[in-house]
Order: sequence, then C-alpha cells, then structure tokens
Amino acid sequence: MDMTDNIIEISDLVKIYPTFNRSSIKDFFINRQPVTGENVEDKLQFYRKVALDLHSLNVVRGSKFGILGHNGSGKSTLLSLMLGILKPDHGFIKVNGRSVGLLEMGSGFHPELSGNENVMLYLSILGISISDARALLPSIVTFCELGKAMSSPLRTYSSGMVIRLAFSVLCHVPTDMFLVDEVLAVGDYSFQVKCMDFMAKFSSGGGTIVFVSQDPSTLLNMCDTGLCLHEGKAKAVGPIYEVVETYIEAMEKIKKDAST
Amino acid sequence: MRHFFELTFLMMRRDMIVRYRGTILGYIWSVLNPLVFAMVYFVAFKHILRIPVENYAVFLLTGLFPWLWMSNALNNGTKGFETYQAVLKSRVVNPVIIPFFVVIIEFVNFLFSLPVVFVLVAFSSVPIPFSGFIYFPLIFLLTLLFLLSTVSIVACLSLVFRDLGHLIQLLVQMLFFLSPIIYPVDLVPDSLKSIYHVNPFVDLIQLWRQLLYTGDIQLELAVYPFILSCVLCVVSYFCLKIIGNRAVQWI
Repeated sequence: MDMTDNIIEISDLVKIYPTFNRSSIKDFFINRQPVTGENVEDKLQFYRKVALDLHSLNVVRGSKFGILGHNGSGKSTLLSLMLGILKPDHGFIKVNGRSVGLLEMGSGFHPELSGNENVMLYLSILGISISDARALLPSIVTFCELGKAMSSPLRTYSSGMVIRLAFSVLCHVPTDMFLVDEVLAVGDYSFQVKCMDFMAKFSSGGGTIVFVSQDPSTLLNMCDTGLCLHEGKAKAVGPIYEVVETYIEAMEKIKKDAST
Repeated sequence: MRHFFELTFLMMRRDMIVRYRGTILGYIWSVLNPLVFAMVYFVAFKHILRIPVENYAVFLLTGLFPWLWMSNALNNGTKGFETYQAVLKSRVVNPVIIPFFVVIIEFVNFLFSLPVVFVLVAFSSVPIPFSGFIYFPLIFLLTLLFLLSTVSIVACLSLVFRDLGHLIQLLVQMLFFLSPIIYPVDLVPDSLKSIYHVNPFVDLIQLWRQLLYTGDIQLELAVYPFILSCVLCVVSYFCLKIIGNRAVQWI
C-alpha cells in the first residue's frame, strides 16, 4: 500500500483544447474545407492544441506546492483541472478532499452589487449555504478591512480592493486545499503580509497550498516542493530549489537563443 | 439540492438588482414593458384588425405573459453559460444549473406580472377561474420540463455555434405570430391546422390561457408537449453531458 498521503494524484493526464473554439453555423456547413492528404497535418494542428501532458504527479497532503512556467505553459489549465472545473481528455486526476481556488481575479463578483451582496453571492457560488454565509460575513468584513466600502457597489472599487475582497472570501471557506494563481501581488504590502500569515497558519494546520507563479523568488520563499512546466510538459518535479534551478536554466537558454 | 435553490435565489436577486437598482420605477419596469406592448397589440388587433374575441385585453395578456416567460428563457438561454460562467469557474457543479437559472428567473418575472392579469380579470365581467387553479402545478411542471430541455440544448449548442443566438431570436419572433397569442386558435384555417399544431407553443399557450382565464382546462392538449419534452429531455441530457460538462473551455 502507498504510505504517503497524497491529496492530488495524477497519472497520464492529457488536456487538449480545440483551438478553433467556437465556429458559426455558416462555417460549419458552407466553409468546410475537405481534409486532404496534403493539409492533414495543418488541419489537425489547427483543431487541437495539447495544453497539458503529465505522466505522473502527486501532491502530498500538507505540502506547499509551487507551479512555475512561462505564459501558456499550462499552469492555469493544471489549476483548473485540480479544481475540477475542467475535465481531462485522457488519464485521470484524483483530488482527495475539498479544494478552493482563485483562478481569475474577481470571477464570481458582479460590478453592480455591493461588497456585502457580492460576498454572499460568491460564498453561495462556492457551495456555502446562506445561513453559514451569514455567519461568515462579519469575519470576512473584518479581514478585508474595506470598512464602509462594503456597502457601495463593486464598480467603485479599485482592482486591489476587488482582490482583497475575493481573497478574504476564499480564506473563510472551509477547505483542505487552497489554489492560488499569482494574484496576491496586486494587493498592497500590508495585505500581502496578512495573506502570507493566513497561508502559514493554514499550512501549519495541515492544509495544502498550491501556488502558481512566474516569480522564482516568491516560490522559493513560499513552497517546499514544486513543478516546472514547459509547453504542457513537466520539466522538473521535486524539491522547490531544483525546480527553480531548472526554470532559471531554461530561461537563460531562451535568452541566449534569442540573442544569437 | 437545497443549495441549488439557495444559489438560484441569490442569482435571481443579483439579476433583479442589476436590472432595476438605480431606476426610479424599479419593479414596475418588469411589468411596464410587456404592458406597453400589450396596449399596442390591443389597438392593432382589436380595433384595427378587429379580431372577434370578447374581453380581448384579458385574452391577450393571459397568452402574452406565459409566452414572454418562454420566449425570454429561450433567448437568454443562448447566452446562459456566458452570463453565469462564474458558477462553473469556481467549483465542480452540474451544468444543468445554468438552464435552471435562466428558466426560473424568467418564471419569477412571469409571476410578478400575474397580479396585472388578475387586476384586469377583476375589472372585467369574467369571473376569476379559481376551480382550475388545481392544475397550476401540472401545467407549470410541463412548461418547466419543456423549457429546461430546450434551453439546455440551445445553451449548449450556442457554445459551439456562436451565431445560434441570432437564429433563435428569429425563430422566437416567428413563433410569436405562429402561436395563438394575439388571436384565438379557431381562426386558423383547417387546411393549415396540421402544420400549425407542430408548434408545441400552440398547446402550451392554450393551456396557460385556460388556466388563467377561461377555467375549463383541456388536459388532452398537454399530451403532445409532454411527449415532445420527453424526447428533448433525452437530447438535452446528451448535450449537457458532451458540451455542458466542458463548458468552461468553450466560454
């Protein structure tokens, strides 16, 4: 029996995006070009893009796991798969516990609603009952330190305030795993410290943190293990310093290739 | 399941707030718009075209308001996944919740407009058809099943085909005139009847009008919409399974 307690188990995971995405009915019936021997490669490439292809990956319960990679390397896709909002095309991903995450800034909020109303709605979207949400509201209001702004519509908020609110809500949702996508950088310094404190407390209480970033130094500070993604494939998995090293080497190589 | 309804309630409140906050008339807007249209239809069809129907105002509204529920649900369904994408992007959730939001929110708008119908009925000489109200749950559930299935299909397919929304809009406009909303069904000539009755809204509108106005409910009218709804329900199941479950990557 496997002795380590994994919160995420991944094997042979493949996620493919159809790149033509949405077409129109007209295109579907009229502009259909036949796929011939000559353009079959182009066609296939046009239709599908492998966003993620991971052989095996386990995240140990209670660890602080960092995901590093360039733009478009599959970080957000992996996070979405971990949250369960995307389904894999092949292979499987298993999450043994509750997870909560922030993928896009302010998704779940509506600009016309007040801060309080948005908190209630967002908690409900995250699966919290109305009575539980009412009980959580006061401590969320205290945590985000937005004060009187909580009763004015969200469209009057700065983007930093929106992030504050979103993060404060997420912190109060009972969960086993917390997934964050490099949004913390938007908040001001004092709030960042507060978030770090929260994460430290969450982690020492046995919670798992998955943190996605492009900044190696943040990850070195925050994480113990990690993964470096490159074009959807794992370049390095293991202790965070090894992962960061691989990432920096790859970056240097790209820089060198670009200059020659 | 309870959470399903709580979330629907909060979404509904969100939509109401977004629509009416800051407007002076507030809720009245939701009734005013159909009422103004009804007045125009009233002048055009009662006084100019002279459709031979007694109590035409009541006749019109008892067909128009249920129709607005159904047509708005269909039209909003085409953008359903976009409007409520936050729900799918935050947590694992059954995608059927999106068509459910669309249909229920429009249903509540319909409920809000019902007092107008009853006021009108009270002022006219027709008695309020209390005896028929026991059929309300039945007709409601039938319409709900029909709308949930069609809206699910439309919402999923418009993720793949982005111009489906325009097509549905056109279709809904056509069906308005091809359903017995502004005229009674007996004005339809016999030669057209067989084609005319293919439209499931013909039976649904008649059922709602009988429920709200005439009081004598012909339950046999429910047979065709019910069978059709069952077929569409199966289709919508596969649409939601194949497209709806992957909605996040299509939005």
